[in-house]
Amino acid sequence: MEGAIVEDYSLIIRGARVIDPAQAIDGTLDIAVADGKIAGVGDFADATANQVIEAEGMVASPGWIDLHVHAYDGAVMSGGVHADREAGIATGVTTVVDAGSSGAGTWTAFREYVVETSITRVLAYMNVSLMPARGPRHGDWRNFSQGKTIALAEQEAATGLCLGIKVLASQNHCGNLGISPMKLARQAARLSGTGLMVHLGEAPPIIEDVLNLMDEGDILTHCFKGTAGGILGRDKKPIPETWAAIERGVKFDIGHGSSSFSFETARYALDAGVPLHAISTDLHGGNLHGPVYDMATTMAKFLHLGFSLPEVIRLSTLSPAELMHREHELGSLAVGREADITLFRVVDGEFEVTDAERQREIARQMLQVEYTVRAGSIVHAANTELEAVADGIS
Amino acid sequence: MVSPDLVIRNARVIDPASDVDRITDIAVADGRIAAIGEYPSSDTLASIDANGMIASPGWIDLHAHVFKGANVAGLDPDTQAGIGTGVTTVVDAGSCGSYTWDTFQERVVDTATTRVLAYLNISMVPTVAPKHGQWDNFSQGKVIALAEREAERGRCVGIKVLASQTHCGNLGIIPVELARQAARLSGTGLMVHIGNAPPVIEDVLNLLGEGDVVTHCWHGKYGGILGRDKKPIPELWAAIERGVKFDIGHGSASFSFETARHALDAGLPLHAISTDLHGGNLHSPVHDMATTMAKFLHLGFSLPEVIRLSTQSPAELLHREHELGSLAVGREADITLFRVIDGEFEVTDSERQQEIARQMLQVEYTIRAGQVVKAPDHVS
Repeated sequence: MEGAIVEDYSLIIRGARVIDPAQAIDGTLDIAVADGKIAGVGDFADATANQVIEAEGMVASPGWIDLHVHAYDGAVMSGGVHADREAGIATGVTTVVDAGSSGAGTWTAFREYVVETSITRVLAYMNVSLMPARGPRHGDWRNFSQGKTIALAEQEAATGLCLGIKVLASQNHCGNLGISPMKLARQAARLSGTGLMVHLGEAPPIIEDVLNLMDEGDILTHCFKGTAGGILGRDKKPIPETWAAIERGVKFDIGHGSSSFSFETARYALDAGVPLHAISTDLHGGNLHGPVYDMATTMAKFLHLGFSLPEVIRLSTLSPAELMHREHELGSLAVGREADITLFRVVDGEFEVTDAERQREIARQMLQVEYTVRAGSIVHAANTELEAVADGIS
Repeated sequence: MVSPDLVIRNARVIDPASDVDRITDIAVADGRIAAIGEYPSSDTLASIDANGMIASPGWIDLHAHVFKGANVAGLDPDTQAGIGTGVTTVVDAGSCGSYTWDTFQERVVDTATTRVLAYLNISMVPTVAPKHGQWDNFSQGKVIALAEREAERGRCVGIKVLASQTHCGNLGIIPVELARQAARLSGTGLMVHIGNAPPVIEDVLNLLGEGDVVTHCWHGKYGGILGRDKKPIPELWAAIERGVKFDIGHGSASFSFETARHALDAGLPLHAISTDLHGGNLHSPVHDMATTMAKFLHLGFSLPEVIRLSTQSPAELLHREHELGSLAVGREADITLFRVIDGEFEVTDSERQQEIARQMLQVEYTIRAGQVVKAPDHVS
């Protein structure tokens, strides 16, 4: 660990419980930031900095990654949320992944209006249909152009923006096409050399067909949805195709949303040993004011389900970074990384939390974001008095 | 031997079906090949001095659209797709379905000098929208009965399906399943157009069996026979193993030099050179059978191989090798006489890739059933 080197930093965070699963760090330490990057995690008691956050009582983790949001705001589509104010830095999330709000037909607008104007890092899956935001959605052959989609996905993966192809494998999106959009998305992902994220919803297509088309590294989002026809059978045990998919290396993302996360499904799945690879919100205008609210509330639901705090952090930092194949740059506080840091408190009390099945339960802990640091800059402070404590603000 | 009606003298005769490649004469009598070999000269005999020319079996274009007048893209079977261009047998690849078949036979097939065979489109009215992509375009009962009857009459060679997005619409793979069913139950062949998904190529190939023909086999779009690594996908190797056949069907969007080279590097088989000639590509990039054949010389095929892929091999795909695609004695005398010209010729694939070919084929004479039906302008 770094430490005891007296030099000027741009920012020092003192005395937080630093949890960085990527480096197996969990202890009360300081974090030094210089030139927008992590300069060290250790004892920086003697170092000076332009800004200091006294973070005693807070947890410092790598900046949260929300693998599933709809950050399209009102720019091209209604129903999206604002990448900074609603989904990103204002809620402790330094990287949002837009999960297919735009297809090849709207991608340029998304890039210009959202990606390039946001402080929050915005990455995205490209919807396999050209114009996904409004009906007719996937469910008509005219919405597809494999040539356009594959060429653009490859090009935008090369720029670092596009992570892969998103498909909504559910009735109101696939319409009369059934499993076809799923096959098209898989083809587009494979031929563009990018990832694949599959939304699981109401059949058709049926889940067996969907899972059987998925392979290593492909992401199933809404994995613990509560309605019939999910990863569990009538006996509440994972269906054989779920196990086969796990065996092949398919990854599972929460994508909470307004209809896609059930405490009951989660408990059955976790009891059965189904793996989980990402906690995410599926935040959009329809669930921003409940039941999802934000990443902190979603993470708190997993503390409530019995996950440890470091595990919840891992599923919101390192693990989604791995799903995106960006673990070399995102999801860790390793020295030299861009300094994306979330500072939060774990507050004890009684907090009513609601899943997407309108099941209400009382959680005993809630996460409360205090500061968001993005590329070394404090971009969000919940309490301006706290911010004023910082030294050296000119 | 009966006295010949016509002697073609001193041509380089290339007939892969008979394993002939030498400079010699061809004698024609009663519309049939009477002999291959030196024939004594005679003043009374009609003859063609074919010195410097190649004589091959009449070319077979396995994929063209010649329903002239029925849709905007249909070409004249003689002047544009057939004998006017060295092609003695044109196979119409599904320009008509069961609703329009009889009209096609009466108006086109029965009036053409060029031999016209046809695949019957699986959808009843295929040429205008809505194409395959509606359930009410299909009637398996009509199609199967008609295909069987017309196959017996020697006119229908099988069922054609367009396995691509704009044709299958929301039906995805279903039209291919219907076409396969119709082919199997009528006892006829199956030709499958591949294009943009849906349906995805894996699903299409997995439905095909021995003798089924994939046309547009070397198209350059995403989702063809090659994967991201530019190597053939496993389903293609499995299809080859099962005996599926591969036809070029050049067209305006379905032939890529790049795909062809990757395919050849991988050792993929090819069974027919064909044009997919229609109104939309007649003037570019396809032009005619000769230009399409020249592209394969350009890709490194030998002249006898190019001829085989335009005569004997498509005849085999049609199961007509006993009557078509050869200059064997006794066959109906369909002969194409052409020159191979050296020079620099710009050739363009369907991806608008332009390359310079060093050789071009130039048709001089077409002989159909023993009659000279095309001759150089300065001769006739």
